[in-house]
Amino acid sequence: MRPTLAELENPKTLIHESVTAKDVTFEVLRPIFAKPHPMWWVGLILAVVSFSCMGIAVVVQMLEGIGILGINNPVFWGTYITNFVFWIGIGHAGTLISAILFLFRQKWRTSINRSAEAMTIFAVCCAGLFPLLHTGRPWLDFWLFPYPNMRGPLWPQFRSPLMWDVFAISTYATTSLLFWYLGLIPDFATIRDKAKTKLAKGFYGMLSMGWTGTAKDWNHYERAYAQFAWIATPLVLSVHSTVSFDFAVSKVPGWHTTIFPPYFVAGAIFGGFGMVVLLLVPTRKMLRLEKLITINHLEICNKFILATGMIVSYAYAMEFFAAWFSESKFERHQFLYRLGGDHAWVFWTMTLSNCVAPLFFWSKRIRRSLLGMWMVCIFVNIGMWFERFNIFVLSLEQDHLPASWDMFVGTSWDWMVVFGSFGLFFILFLLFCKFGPAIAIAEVKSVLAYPAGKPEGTGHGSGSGHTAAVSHDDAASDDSKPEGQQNV
Amino acid sequence: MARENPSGGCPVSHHHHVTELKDPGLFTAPRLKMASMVMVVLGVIGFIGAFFVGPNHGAERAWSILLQGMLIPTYLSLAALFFVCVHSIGGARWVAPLRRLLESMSSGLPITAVVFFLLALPFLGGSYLYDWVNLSWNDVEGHPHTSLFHVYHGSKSGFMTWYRLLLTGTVFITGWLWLRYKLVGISLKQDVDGGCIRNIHRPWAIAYVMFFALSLTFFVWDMLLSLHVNWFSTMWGVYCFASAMQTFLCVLLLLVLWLRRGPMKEHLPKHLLHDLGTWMVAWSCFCAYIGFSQFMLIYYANLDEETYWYILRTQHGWGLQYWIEAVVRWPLPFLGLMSQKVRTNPVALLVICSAVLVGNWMDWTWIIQPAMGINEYRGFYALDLVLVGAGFAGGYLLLVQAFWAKHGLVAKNDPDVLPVVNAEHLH
Repeated sequence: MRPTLAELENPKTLIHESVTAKDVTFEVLRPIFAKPHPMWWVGLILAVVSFSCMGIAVVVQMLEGIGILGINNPVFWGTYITNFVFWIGIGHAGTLISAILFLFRQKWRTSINRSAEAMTIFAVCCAGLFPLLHTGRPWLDFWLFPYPNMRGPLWPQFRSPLMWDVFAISTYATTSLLFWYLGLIPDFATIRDKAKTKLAKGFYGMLSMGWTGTAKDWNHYERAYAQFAWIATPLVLSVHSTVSFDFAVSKVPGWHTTIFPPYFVAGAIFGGFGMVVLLLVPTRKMLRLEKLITINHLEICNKFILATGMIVSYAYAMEFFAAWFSESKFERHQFLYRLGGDHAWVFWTMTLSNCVAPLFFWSKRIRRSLLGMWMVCIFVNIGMWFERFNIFVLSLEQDHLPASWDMFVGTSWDWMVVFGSFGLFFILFLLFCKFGPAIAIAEVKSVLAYPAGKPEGTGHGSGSGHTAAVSHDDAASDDSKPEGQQNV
Repeated sequence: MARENPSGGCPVSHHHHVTELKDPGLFTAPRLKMASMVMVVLGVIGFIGAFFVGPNHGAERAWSILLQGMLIPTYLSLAALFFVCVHSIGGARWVAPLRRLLESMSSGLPITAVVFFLLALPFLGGSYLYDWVNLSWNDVEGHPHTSLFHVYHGSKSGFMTWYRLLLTGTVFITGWLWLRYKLVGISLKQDVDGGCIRNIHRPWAIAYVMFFALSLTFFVWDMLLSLHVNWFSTMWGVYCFASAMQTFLCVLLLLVLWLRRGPMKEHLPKHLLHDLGTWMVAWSCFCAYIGFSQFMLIYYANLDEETYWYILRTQHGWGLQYWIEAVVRWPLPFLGLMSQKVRTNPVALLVICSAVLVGNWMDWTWIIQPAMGINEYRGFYALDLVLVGAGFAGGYLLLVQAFWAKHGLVAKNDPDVLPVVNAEHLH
């Protein structure tokens, strides 16, 4: 008997045991050769509209200067830097899933790593724009690169953490892109082999770089993949740590605190997983990938959100405690300002979204409910944007010199750019979903219970050694128990 | 598929398939027990001696080396439980053959309980180690307690008192002992009843990890950071946690190397050594990351109220020691254990783990001693300090051995042990 969709979505193993290798190829390639889902068109149009807002704002900014934004003296860093750190953070879940979880032999990563890595690349694209635009004269941004030039004493200031960022992020972007592309090669070859039109054959043939699928090909590929995983692993820590240095090496109250590097990394993974779940819930529906991206995969992501949310809450608490313990007037004032100042709503939005909302994931029912997890992840994303706004803007508003205190009020240009950056991200993601394999075909095949189909008379559940049990706690057996036993 | 196994298969391939494991049963090691008792005696001699002899002798020296020694059972026990719990929460089965050993390594907490009171009570160690304990106990004329806290009329003085220290310390230690009792109890019950304990163990594991995060932070904040009452670093809890984990992994690996030569020969195949070695590499990187971040941020911002802590610790030989420690705790295990072959080589692991262990001992000295004797170097190798360290190690080992003698070395009736020994989780 064929399993129903509900059974396929909630399998006892990671992916339902009736799914075969052939199914995987078919399911992943279907959206590429089929006409796009109406939701895809709606999404793309909305994304293009929103990105146009950003385009207009950027053109006006180029003509008028960054004075059109809400930044002032002392709040030199406003929504642009908030966006920058927000988007860099979004990318982190992808690298964590593709590199660290690979080294930890986490089989559940296989269905989601490709799309999460794609999000990394697109998020870095969005992020990279903001410091470049924020320089005010983006056409001179090549000055950031150290190469022999005729600008006299103009040379990048390597003692500035902003320069460290240039290198941290360009390394991150390069490595993530290569790693992602490496994983795509065998899948591009599959598309090439299945393509009907000459154009598609040529396009995907070029992308697959002559992959033939021989044992030698795979041997090289797997070695390269493992090595890339090792290279990408430190980047998960280093990139957002370097971003945190932009703030923490300064003397601004609320910025200079030693826990910033690990706290930013945890927050980035938290926000990154928030975006992964937020996007995968509609994407799997739109591409009809429910069989391959099951509730089990999403539940594990939600557990990550719960855990990293608590790490972030710990960091918030330590910041408050240390500000009080330090007896520094400025630190104490800054944290009181966050709690009850003019922008207190920013702080409380952040706290509710990042510290309270993820706590709903203690409930297994919410962790496994599509609507529930989607709602929580919306909060997580809002919370992470406001977290950065809370740190950067509120600290600058009231720093050491009361005479220069001022409020930040974003102009409509600010908000057009914030809104538009989401448009850019979604355009790239939607195009990828249509033209690329949204799931790593070869990797998913390696975790199937019966890649060649379930043989007749095989016992229930336990299959070959390839069977990947669900997060090791047998979701199915838990399902039969009363709710109270599962949650804790 | 080999793709799913980044370890490549090298450590696994030498292993033959095991169908039945011999239970090593209750375990006693008379010679180790004897040695541990001698170490305890030496420790007592070292502690008492520090009051009367040696270049820095006196009560302050004696209590400060007792504080450093206390970190041994405390860090090892708490980190061992953390290691069990994190793997329980993540559903990682590969630690199954190690679980009883890990639980035995959490036996040191009674020592922490006793020594904490010796150190915290204001009429014993507290007054010598901590100015704020002293002044909140003896509010001397002209030196009121609040004078230590210079801003906002000493608003911190209500918190930094001897009775608050005793209260929170008692709560933390009671919590640790109670959670350990629950966690180990669930595991021991499986020996008798059998069955799968994952779903019963996990809630307690979560409770422990959350309690541990907060309690360890405030415990080390009180005991170590507050040696300089006006210094602060939000990273402090994480820094000490990293050191605790690294120390624990060294000791675990050393015990594993020793036990796999005897009673646990079958239970600890090479692929487990490989995985523990990998953890060692990972935690060494984490330690370096945390240590560097804390140092760099304070160095770069160059604020007087923060830098003095590091200035005291980079002059008069402390800086050199810090460099040596940094090399021993990160590049050595990182580069040394990078190769899979080395990660399964017992001799290499023995050498590297011992060195890293010394590196952590250097770190603890580097944290505590500069607060005691400003502007002079007091080596991590000083006789009284080493003797007290040996005493705590001996006491800890005695408790661990008592656990082995009572509960054995391997969890009985755990369905995961045999598959893990056969490396089924790697395929």
